[in-house]
Amino acid sequence: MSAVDERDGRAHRADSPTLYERSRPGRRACALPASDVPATPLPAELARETLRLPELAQLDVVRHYTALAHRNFGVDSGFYPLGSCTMKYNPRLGEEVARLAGFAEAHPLADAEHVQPLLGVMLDLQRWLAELAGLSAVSLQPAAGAHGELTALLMMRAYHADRGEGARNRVLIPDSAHGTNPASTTMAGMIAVEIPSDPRGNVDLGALRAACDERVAGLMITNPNTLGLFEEQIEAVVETVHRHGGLVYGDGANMNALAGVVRPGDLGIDLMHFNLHKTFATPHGGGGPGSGPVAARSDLADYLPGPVVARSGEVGAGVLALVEPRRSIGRMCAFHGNFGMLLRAWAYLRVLGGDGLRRMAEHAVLNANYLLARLRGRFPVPYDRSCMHELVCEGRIEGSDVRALDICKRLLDHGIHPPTNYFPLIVHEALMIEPTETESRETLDAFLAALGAICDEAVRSPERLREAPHTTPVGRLDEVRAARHPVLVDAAVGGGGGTGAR
Amino acid sequence: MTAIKPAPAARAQPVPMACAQDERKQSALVGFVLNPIAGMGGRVGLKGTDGVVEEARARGARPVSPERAARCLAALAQALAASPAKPTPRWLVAGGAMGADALRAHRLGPFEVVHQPPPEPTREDTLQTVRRFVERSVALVLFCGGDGTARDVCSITGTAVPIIGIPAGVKMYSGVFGVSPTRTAALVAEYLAGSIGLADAEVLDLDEDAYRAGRWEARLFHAARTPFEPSLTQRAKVMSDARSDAEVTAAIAADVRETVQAAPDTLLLLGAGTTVRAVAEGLGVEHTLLGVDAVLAGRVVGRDLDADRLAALLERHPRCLLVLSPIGAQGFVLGRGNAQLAPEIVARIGRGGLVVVATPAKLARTRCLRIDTGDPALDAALVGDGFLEVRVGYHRRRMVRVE
Amino acid sequence: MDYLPHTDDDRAAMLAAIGVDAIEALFAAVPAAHRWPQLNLPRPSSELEVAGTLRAMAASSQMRAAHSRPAVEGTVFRGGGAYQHYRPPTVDDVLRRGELLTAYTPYQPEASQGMLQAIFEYQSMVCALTAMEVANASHYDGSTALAEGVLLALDAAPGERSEVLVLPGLNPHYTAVLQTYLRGGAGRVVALEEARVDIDTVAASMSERVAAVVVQSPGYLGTIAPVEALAALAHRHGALLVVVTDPIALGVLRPPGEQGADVVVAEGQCLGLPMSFGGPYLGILATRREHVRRLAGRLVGETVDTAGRRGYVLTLATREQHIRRARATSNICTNSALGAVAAAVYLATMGPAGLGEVAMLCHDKAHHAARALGAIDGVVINPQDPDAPFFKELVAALPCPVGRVNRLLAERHGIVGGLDLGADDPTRAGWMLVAVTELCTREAIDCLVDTVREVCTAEMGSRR
Repeated sequence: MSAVDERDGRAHRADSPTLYERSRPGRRACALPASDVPATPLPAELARETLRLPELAQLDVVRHYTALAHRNFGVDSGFYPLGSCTMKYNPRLGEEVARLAGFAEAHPLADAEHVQPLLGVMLDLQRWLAELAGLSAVSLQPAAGAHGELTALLMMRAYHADRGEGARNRVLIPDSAHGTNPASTTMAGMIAVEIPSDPRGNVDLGALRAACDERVAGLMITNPNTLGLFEEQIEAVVETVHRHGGLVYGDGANMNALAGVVRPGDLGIDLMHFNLHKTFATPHGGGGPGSGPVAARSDLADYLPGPVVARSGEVGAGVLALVEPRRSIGRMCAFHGNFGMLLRAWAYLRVLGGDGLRRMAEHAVLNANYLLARLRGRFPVPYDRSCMHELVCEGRIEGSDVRALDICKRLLDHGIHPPTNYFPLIVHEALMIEPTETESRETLDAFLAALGAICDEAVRSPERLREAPHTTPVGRLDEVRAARHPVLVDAAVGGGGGTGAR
Repeated sequence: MTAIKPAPAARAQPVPMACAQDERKQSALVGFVLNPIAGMGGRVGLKGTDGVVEEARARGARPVSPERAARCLAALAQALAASPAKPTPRWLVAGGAMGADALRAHRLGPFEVVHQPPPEPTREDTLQTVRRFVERSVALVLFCGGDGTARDVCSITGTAVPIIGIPAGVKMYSGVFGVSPTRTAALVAEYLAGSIGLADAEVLDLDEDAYRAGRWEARLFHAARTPFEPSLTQRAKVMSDARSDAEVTAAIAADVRETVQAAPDTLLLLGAGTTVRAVAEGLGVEHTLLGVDAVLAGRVVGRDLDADRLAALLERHPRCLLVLSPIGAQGFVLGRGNAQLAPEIVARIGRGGLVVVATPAKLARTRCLRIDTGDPALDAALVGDGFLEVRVGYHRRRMVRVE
Repeated sequence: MDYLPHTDDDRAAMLAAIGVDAIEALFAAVPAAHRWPQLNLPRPSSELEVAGTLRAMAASSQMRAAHSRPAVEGTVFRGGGAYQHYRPPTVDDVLRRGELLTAYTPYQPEASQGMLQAIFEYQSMVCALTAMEVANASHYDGSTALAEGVLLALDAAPGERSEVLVLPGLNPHYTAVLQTYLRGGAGRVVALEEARVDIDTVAASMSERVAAVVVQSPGYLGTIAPVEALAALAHRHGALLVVVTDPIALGVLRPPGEQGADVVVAEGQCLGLPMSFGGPYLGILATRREHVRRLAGRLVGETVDTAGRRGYVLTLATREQHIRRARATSNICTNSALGAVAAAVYLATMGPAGLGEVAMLCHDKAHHAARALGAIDGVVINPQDPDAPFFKELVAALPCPVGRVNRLLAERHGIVGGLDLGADDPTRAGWMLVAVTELCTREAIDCLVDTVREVCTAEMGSRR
């Protein structure tokens, strides 16, 4: 289909035309029925004069997006070991059921008696997630992991304030935690205090103790942490924070290692969020939508954002309703959360069941440890012990000075999405690799073979790496130019809505 | 919580990413100078080469800096070629072993010799060369050497011309060195491609005579500007770049400002260093880079204070916060270089009165913080349980090990 | 069933490579006392069974696709922030593309040009629609876009301003979300408790403490606010104007950007996304170029690759870390990228003509419904602001309980009636908020009007 670009031999057309470049005045992709009511004139002072949207035939639209899809890489395209993102297979069942009219066409403010099965889905999920968390109540409202973090921090704040301890405003965050934690803390009006890791990759207990005083609101802990390691002293960590009156929040982004293996609540965690788009296989959508339900201990349940689903009326009457928790921090989004994602997660949980979830976590950990065992000789592993669902090594190659970024870009030429790189920050040239449980041994072996080839190449012909990727639709992009001279809208729109034909 | 707007930064600095100001230095003029004897002392246990070259030679020392420079220049040639911006710098160099030989060997493009040193070059040759660089308005000075070389280069450039060092000396406490020759090359390439900006850095040097006598006294010689190594290049979880050094220090300043505004009757003592200077700018006060200043209710009430005047001020204003920053790469928060802060003064302020500030970039170069007031009992009290809280941004703190 | 590919041989070989006997050995770091808990969770099922269960549940929900029986059944007159609009088939076709659906945030631009270009085009079309200069890659929904837009305005406003003046007509759920986001202390909401937006009252409420004025137009109750006058007023007092709008309305209405808005936010669900019981939706946020570095979330920018070929990247790492004020911080990471793609496909499919037609159909049908309902004895249209122009939503104040009308509409016609505003606010008892979209046929409107008339007549009769 595509011609070879003579500049660098890339098998792609130079530029992919934009919708606006494909646009021709007068083309239509859609027609609406004629009006069946009398027209009402729109007052001239309210009417807009021009609307600069592209004008395309329907085939143009379909070809455009087909071309764009071809220029994108998803889990469906190939191995996607992006650390801490849990890029596992997204079952097609979820896509099918989310489109059933009884769910997709439901108005969020529908009368409760008309949507009992939908409320039932939510109630089930609230219960199942609470069971997995070992906590007592769940709100499904937060729309993503970071949204869940903010929710939990606002709950912490409200909880302390109600106890006359509103001065507690410090949130302890290990340096191996997720990158969004400090930003969530600042948004919640509190102060983030970073706690270093010890040489085994655990929270440094000495530093934790030094940071604990009467000002501590709580600790945000990612377990397993972003090194892929289970916190070996988790109970001592939790006890230290509790002793000083703080709460412990669990960042559930890495629950793929623990679901069915251990309940965070049993370890003393007071609050946590889940990422349904990670652990429960709802698709990532190229950057969302996600879903980040929050679970809480019984005495924190009243602070959850509402509405949540509860049985109302007489005991056993079986009528479900949306209710506001008593001391709720308020709404986190307009309605009751990303129901479409909740439904997909519900289906996933029902298919796997409790036993399947445990197998899921076990095989996620098996796959990661297999990679760790086979990569150990090739790349430096800074915290070398049995990992959980992901592993972190240094993207350095003996006898070469190529960087982690070069390795990542070259992986693209092998048809593999690169791991997370340069995170966590505490590892030099970090490569953070999360294979997930749905990848086969052959896929993992192919990944190892690709890394092996790259290591050889790094010594033999490092320039091939530095100039990689060679097979993608575009080569390395000039990010400086993008930032220096930001072009954020199509030239056809200009900056102000334009004056195109209407 | 009241949000506080920081005072506008007094320095007009280039802010990479955040403001589209300085164009990339695609065909920029770059000065390169190599101190061929740097690092010779270390291998033979001389703790520095200043003034002891003959003895180092006699002990069998061989030059290390040409090899370090070679590694950097080889990496630089590759990095420039691989950069999407394709920078093609033009070079000014000192002749022969002081630069031209190395540059020629690595085919880094056209160069011009601006100073021809004698067969046995001295410090004066470095100074002469850098003077020529400054006269020709180079965009960057790349040098290879140690703290002594940095001091010499910086004594000419000041903050007017950015500098960056290929680490090759025995002592490298200054903040102008890349962590390795190849990393230095990457920073140069990124700077020339326009993808990183500049940061303030301190150029320090030990008093080598004192050092050989077993004392460790770093002195802050100059403030310099150097390509800023982003401390956060976290691409995956949160799309965030560390922006400019100026933005980070402005955030720290805003954080301290909030603390100060919450307690307006507190005496504020501002210690030495460039990060503290940024805090002072955030508070809208002038700052003595190498001294201790006192501020009360937004006004400077003492400048470059000595121990006696500090004591007198503390007598009148017992509630006091002391803003300090680790100096250079040794991590000294107290002791070395701030003798005004005598033990009895620090003891009076107490651990609770210390406000330690540092940019994450600076902390990345500092293994741990150190306290040495000269009074072991006081040191122990200040070290406490072994961690100091450091302010690294707005509402961002970090627990850092202290010894 | 599970989705694991591992055979027994695979497991054995992998365990041998690791050097352990059993998978359980890999979990030694987990406290033994709490390992392998007994969980009260469902048993595993086949996909076939789960699909069957969900199909049965969906069927027992009272919700139907629009026109599931010709012209009437499945019609939704309920709005209040989520609307039943036509979704052209191109949209879902694109959303099902695995390359887009199963990708994550485009951190590796070389492998993500499709998503990046789609978002770039989304940004462009949002700017065209709103007449603003920059738009980001999305928020979770309209309400969170509003909260982030207000944080932007708080950061941009001069001086130490911290008040957010919320004008009448803002969706109460949006106000609630804004309040939650401001719990961190970045500012506080001052809500004008009037029935309608009155420019003199707003003027009297302005001060040097006000950082932002928030107005929804078309408002929660459907009426169109004097955005241009409000922008001038806000700017006169040094504040920014944040406008919450309806993207469908912008098919024909003057865009807020032309009227001086500083920040425009909207719920993008109406642009091709199903109502889906409240989510996932799409938060649209656009502003002026001078505020680009205050935008939260992701932005896609155009650039070139090593060979000079055009490409796109995430750029201007916006309002995230190392920022000096709480109000200038956002933690957003995962957003609503696929929702933005849906909106882009929708707008590309509709084009200017199609979107204009959708908007005019909404407008004309809403006005037709208003006339018909207003002709019923005892029914008052838009009592809070009878003279204000409106777009696709209107208040019909009924002399009878809204619930009774809605029950009859559901039972007889399979129609979801308007929102009962009296349910949460006794001062609005009998007020039905009626949303009329292009999918409401004249026949369905007749059903609504006839049912209202019938219930009203019965109610009036019983009162006599």
